[in-house]
Amino acid sequence: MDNQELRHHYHLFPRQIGEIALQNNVEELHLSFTQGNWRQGSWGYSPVGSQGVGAEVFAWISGATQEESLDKWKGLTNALSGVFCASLNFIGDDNTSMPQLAFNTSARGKRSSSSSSVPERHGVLRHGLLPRENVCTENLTPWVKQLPCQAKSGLGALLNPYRLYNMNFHSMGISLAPAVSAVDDGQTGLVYKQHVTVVLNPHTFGLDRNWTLGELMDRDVDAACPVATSSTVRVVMPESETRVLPKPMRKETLGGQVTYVYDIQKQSASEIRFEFADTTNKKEAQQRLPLVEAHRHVNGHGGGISGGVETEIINRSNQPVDVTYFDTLPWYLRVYLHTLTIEAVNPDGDIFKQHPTQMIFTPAIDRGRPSTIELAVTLPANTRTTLRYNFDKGFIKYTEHPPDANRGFNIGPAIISYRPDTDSSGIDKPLFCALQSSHPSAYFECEVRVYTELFLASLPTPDFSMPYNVITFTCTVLALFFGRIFNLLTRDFAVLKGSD
Amino acid sequence: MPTGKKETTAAESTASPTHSEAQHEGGRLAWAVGLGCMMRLGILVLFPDIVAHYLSDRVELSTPVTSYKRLREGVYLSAHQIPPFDGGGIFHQSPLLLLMFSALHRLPEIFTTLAYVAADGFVAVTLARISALRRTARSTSSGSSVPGDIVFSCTPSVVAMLYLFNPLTLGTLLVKSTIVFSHVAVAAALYAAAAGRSSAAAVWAAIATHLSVYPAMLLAPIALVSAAAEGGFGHLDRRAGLSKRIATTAAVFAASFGAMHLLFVACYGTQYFTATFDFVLRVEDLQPNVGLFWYFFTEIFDEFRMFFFVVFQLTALAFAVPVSWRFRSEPLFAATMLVGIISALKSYPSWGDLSLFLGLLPLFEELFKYMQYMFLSANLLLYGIGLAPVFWHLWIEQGSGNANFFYAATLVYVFGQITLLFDLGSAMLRRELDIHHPETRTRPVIQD
Repeated sequence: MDNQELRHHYHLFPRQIGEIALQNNVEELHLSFTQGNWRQGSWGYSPVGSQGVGAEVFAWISGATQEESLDKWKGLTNALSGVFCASLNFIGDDNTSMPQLAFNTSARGKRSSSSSSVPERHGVLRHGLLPRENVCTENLTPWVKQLPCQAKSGLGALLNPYRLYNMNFHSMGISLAPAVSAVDDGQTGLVYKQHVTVVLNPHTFGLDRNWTLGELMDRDVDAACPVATSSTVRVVMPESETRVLPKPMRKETLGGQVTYVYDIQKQSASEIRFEFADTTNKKEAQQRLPLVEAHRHVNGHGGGISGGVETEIINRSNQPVDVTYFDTLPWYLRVYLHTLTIEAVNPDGDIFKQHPTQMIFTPAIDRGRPSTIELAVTLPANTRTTLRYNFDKGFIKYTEHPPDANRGFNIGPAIISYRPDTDSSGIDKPLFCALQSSHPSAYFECEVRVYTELFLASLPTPDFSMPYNVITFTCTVLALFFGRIFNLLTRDFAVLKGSD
Repeated sequence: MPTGKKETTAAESTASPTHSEAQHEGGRLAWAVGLGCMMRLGILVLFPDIVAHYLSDRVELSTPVTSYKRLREGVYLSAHQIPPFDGGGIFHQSPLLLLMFSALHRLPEIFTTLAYVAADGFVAVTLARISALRRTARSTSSGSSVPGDIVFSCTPSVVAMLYLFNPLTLGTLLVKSTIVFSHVAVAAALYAAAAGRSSAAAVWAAIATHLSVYPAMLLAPIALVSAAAEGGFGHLDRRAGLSKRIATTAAVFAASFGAMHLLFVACYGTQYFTATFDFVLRVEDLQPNVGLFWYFFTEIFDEFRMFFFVVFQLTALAFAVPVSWRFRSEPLFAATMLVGIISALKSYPSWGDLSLFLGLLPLFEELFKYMQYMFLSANLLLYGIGLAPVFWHLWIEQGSGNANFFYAATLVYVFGQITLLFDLGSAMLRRELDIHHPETRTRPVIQD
């Protein structure tokens, strides 16, 4: 893929992203900005795949040497930081890791169940995480700018920042991935996607059981984007008495769920009306529980300099599932890998000690590299597996503490990824995988990533008002030592006069 | 002023101990060491949870270069083919320990406990034997005693007991700090030197330097001790043999150090050097300990970091040769002074370093009557040792104090050690004056 070929697509494909990708030898790129916690137990699978809190960038970058690919990575993060008005330039050596097991790296190049094969990746994967990054309108505006019709027509017009950022969970991002076209004789290309996920509570806006999409987002969408080939709204029907008006263009069943598909080129998106029956029990409207759910917290008594990370992974299926656990801790949390234990508990209360089938550990370099733990674990059927390891909190220089030092540092989520059984009837496949497989020109590889919560590590702080005093006191003690021992070594005794 | 009673005992006991006394002494030593080792073994085997809960995480006892937890991490990493010194993040101990514990960890855990207890017992026995050697040397050499000397109440078994039952030593062993093995090497080096075996002493000193960097300073006094031991303890008469002796010792030291270095490079690559020696010299990990470095290097501005670590390390290392030269007539005392200087000014000290210094002190009981600041230094040390855990709890666990409390306790602790060192040094100089100029014995003197 080079500039000559891309240039022909710049009426649809965003030019900024294309040029950044070409300049930095990017083979595949994923970027997301998320705020809030996705409640796996209540909301089920995320419509486009989970994201982790904060800003997350990972990309496969090819380069002749390690230094070159590192330079290109830094160029990529800085360029994206400029485009999206985010502080992605803080993704440096000390929060970039290079995963080897997670992110389906090992599955590249294999033939998948559909007829198209997955293109081989030659570049090196780099993953950077900024758990403390906030998401706001300043990030949405450049995101919308990348759309061909921006916010003027089509579904982009629905994105009202007043509604989007008024909620506890919102996430947006882009992804750029190579694909093999099933239509054009297996030609390779790039697929560019942008996604926004938001969880809205109609009650916040004064809406009750009867509202339209336009009322929810407080925007009117009159027309679809003129350059769009297709523009659809898909409604996943809850399993209760809910009416959605008007009648959809067609109904589809994907991943075991009934969906209504509306063609926006023929009808207005803001006119889609939802009517919830009075007898609708909130619980019935719950989404399907995910197959694998993960939560992470930190334990250890309140103060102290040691703690432990505990991740609980729930496997709801009746089959064992192979998952990859990927966790990155910054260098100032010193990981003790010899304390790693994995235990699985089944509903009867039996405890099985597990061992990872593969373990890749990259130790941290102080101020140079985070520590990365990657484990390939087989979760037994119908169990809760708990992964535990200990760490010690390091002590950092007083200039390295953030301005609000006692708040501590956000420690990014752990990522548990697995590939659901692709040749089953599709019940176990989340919606976004089912959607992907039906798309004619994308390659099909379903990887489900589950992100855990983040935690706060508050490091013990020195007294910030004391540099001068500390220097003075310590040097005084040192001078006392030096002076006294020096006297001892160089002076001779003499009898005190007048003592006879 | 000496009492009449002490003068009579002085007259009686200047002769060397008799055979039955030596037997009694040996029996007492065996009892002392046995009891000490049994106590340690008992606590470690019967109360591991209490030890783990209260002691194992104490930063006063275990430092980033001596922590047993980090040692286990290093052994685990190297057992799983992850280079333990890669990046130098967590494991900073000598490959010697890594090799030793990789082997020990294949055996049941009791063997590790036994290794530690045996190491402590070895140090106690070695200190006792050094004390015995010194006693025989002093009692046979004339002109090195002063009337009114407190004579020989610190027999070798007493020396061993004072070392073994010192709570600092006990605490250091219970947390399985690896400074114990450095003490083994230092004590063995001093004993070999006192027995006249300079090559063995140099090899032990090289091992000690690999285990914790600072015993390199002890090379000078060890060379002098072994030279003195040749001609009997006391004054160094033979200058010609002296320089040759020092050169040989230094050469053996360099050769054994180099051989071990090559072995470790072959096993682990040159990264180990950055992770161990360079790490200690540049104070990269700012974990609090009972020394001066950590808070200073937490608060210092980045521009001055290099300058100050050079200053701090030089202050400790530069006194090796001057102290040895000044006390060249009592080189074992010079070694003790340097052990004390190491304990006060090394970059990651712990109470274990002080325990070795305190263990060497009873060898010089004749100096106690010349020491003027005993009360002060004892109090400073007790305050420093007693308050440090309290202030740590206030800072870290309770959150109602801040780092300055703990820092103040460490300042007091280091100042107590400095006072003790200074007092000891001036006591030795006063005593030398008394020996060589008997006319000054009853008159006050000042330093010029």
